[in-house]
Amino acid sequence: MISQEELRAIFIEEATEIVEKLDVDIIRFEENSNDFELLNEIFRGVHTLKGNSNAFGFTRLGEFVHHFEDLLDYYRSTKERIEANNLELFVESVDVVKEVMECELNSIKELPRSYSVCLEKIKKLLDAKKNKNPSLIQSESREVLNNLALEFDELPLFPDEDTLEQSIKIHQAMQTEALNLYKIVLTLDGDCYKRGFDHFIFLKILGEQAKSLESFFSMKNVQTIEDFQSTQNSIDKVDIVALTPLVYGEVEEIFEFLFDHEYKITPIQAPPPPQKETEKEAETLFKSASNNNTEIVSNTNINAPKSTIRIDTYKVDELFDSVGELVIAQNFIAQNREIRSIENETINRTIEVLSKITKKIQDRVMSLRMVAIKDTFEKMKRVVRDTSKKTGKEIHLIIQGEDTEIDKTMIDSLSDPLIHIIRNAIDHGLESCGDERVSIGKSAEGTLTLRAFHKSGNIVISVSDDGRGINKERVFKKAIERGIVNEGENLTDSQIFALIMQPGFSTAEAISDLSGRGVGLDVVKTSIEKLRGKIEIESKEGEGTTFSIILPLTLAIIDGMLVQVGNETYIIPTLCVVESFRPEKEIVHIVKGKGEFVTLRKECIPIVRLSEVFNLDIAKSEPWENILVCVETDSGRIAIMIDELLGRQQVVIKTLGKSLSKVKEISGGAILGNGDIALILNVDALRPQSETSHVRD
Amino acid sequence: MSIDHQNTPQSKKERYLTFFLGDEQYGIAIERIKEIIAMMKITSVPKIPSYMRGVINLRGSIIPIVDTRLRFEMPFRDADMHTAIIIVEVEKVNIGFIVDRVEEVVSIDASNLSEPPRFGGQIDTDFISAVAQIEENVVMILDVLKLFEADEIINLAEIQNKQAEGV
Repeated sequence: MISQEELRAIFIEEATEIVEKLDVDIIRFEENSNDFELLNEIFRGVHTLKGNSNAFGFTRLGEFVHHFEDLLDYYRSTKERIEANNLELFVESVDVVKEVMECELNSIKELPRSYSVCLEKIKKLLDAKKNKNPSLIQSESREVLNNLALEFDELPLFPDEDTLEQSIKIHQAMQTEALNLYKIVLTLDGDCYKRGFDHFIFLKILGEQAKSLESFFSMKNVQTIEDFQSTQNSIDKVDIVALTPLVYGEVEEIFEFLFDHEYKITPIQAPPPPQKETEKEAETLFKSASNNNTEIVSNTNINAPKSTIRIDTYKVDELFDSVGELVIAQNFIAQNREIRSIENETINRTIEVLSKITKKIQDRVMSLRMVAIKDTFEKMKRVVRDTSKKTGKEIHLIIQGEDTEIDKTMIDSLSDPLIHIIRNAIDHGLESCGDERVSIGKSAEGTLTLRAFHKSGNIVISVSDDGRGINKERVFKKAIERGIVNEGENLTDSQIFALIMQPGFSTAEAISDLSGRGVGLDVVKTSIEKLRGKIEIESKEGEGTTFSIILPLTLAIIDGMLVQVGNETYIIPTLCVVESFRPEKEIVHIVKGKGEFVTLRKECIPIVRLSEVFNLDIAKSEPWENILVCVETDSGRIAIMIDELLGRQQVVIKTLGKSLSKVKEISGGAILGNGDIALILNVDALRPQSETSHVRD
Repeated sequence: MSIDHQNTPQSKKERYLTFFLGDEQYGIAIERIKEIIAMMKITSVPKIPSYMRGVINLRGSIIPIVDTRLRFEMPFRDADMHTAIIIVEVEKVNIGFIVDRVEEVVSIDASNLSEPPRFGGQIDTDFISAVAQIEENVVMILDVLKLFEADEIINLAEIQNKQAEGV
């Protein structure tokens, strides 16, 4: 039996989902307030939220949502054009819903001020609208009375099959094309009250949306007053006959909080063809049936339910781990010399097939974790809208590649950095006003482009603005002032741009005249690095800036360069490798007290000997006898000296266990095809300390 | 089930896996032990305390390995056919301990356990939570948590905290 805790968890999960969707939908609706299909969608979300929050005793949320629903319902049913200021109220209301839910979940007694303000506005608007349209309301309330009358009057308290059959017959006679008839049997457990459930809430919800509803309570087990127990439910069965415009799925939705065995919904007559799905309120239907029939038909296909299941991400992770091991085992077989030397066609072919299947399974399991970035981008619309309003800058947002799939775990931690970057682009990147833009030959409206795409095994998410671009000299000067770089240092453009993401570099003064937000790009950088990604900045003065977030396809697997040093095999993440080469003797220099350097295209790069960093016991050799792998680190490039390049491979990252994780230079381990472990280098920690000291605060 | 267990007369008996390092016999509470495996290839990890020998690949999991002899400041000894790795769960992390020879599982009545001696022996008594007499032998019951230096335990906690914050 599900505990209250679990139910609460389900509620929170569902409600959060609904609210997130509302947030996105309301912005889409704001863009196109004629889209009544979308309004319906919003209404449904709000409606479900209302039912759920009341069922869980979140009455304050329920109360607000109830009125919001009424308001939405008004526009939905009248198809009246929504005035701009009222549209604003919708957006505001969604914000309040978010805040109130936060309060409810954390049991905060005090509600935000916006709650009552917004509620008042909704009520006022609703009153104004209803007064204009009194006929609608009256017919509605009369309907409710009729329902009540049907429920309580002239009906036998002890149902037998006959009266039930009779009731069905009566209802069948009342049935019109737009109404569906259901027989619903609720089987109630004796302890159902203890689970905090009042099943009659469902009756109420159904009743609100039914043309007619008749219920038969089985009283045969009801105790006498002497045996009465307040916690014990003695009505074990309720038969309901409902005549409602709802389709089967919608009726089922009302009861979905119950266990499967607790309810049974039987449509009388075969479920009607989908064309009959219509507006929920019969009144609406009568009003609109004559002229809107065709439109209603077209709506239904969009709402066809997608078949999905919810899976605990932990389970997916476990599956993913096992598949990783499967791949390793398969590689072992495929690479084993003894097996390969077997000259038997069947065995060889089987191994071939095995490797194909393994690859397929790996891809499929991987795709389980992948979700389209669409939702995140939709959320960004809101950010752009709000920032645009706050800064008073007009912005045209272009979204590209929203179907690009990305690891679910990454999506969650991607929102905040993206918000930072977008705000930054609007606040600091774009010119402060339209006139300024027009005067330099740009359109008054700034353009912000959000793109996601694949690029050589990585996912790139970029935010581009067509604003003023980054002023390199000012950045460089500022960096010198802040002591982030030394005066004489020779930096490439990308290195200069990267400076704005250094901690302690205030972007506000240096890049734009607008200040005060204090967006810390260093925070963005750190959170992207946590995802094993990196940020690249491109900018042209006067033309705009592009921030590209480059992420691995998944968190669990990296593309690595296998290198050998002495007897040890290490992995360098390919993402940070710039190039590898065997240096000429002439370009290697030794600087007294500072170590060895190699000059590469006029850039002086420190050489890092792994044998020294790791105290490996191997004979000392000269750089020109070895291979240098040039890698990009936090604090500039370094050249790692290795004996040999062994190849490139996708590896599953494993932690070395907590007791070994304090070795900074190693970020983890990976199991190779032959079962050996190779350590993954953390190149950021390899740069000699004397070099990094001035860069790190 | 646990309640039943406590009510039976045997309840005071705890079971320990015993093993040898040189001539000395040690015990570790059996609930902590995940499995015992034969010596296998160890990948060395740079910049770790010398008693940490590195990591092994145990069916796809990477597990750090402690050379128990070195931890107890006993001389290093090459592996032979008796050398085994005991996989122990410490603070929800699996760690392997290399020992000279695994002996047996013994039940020791709580009343037979006594305070560890404060002097003598080759090792720091901090690691030993109790001493028991089994026939001719003295078995030293190890406190695996203390096999890691105090700062390492703090480190474990820190890492866990950091991970919690990260989420």
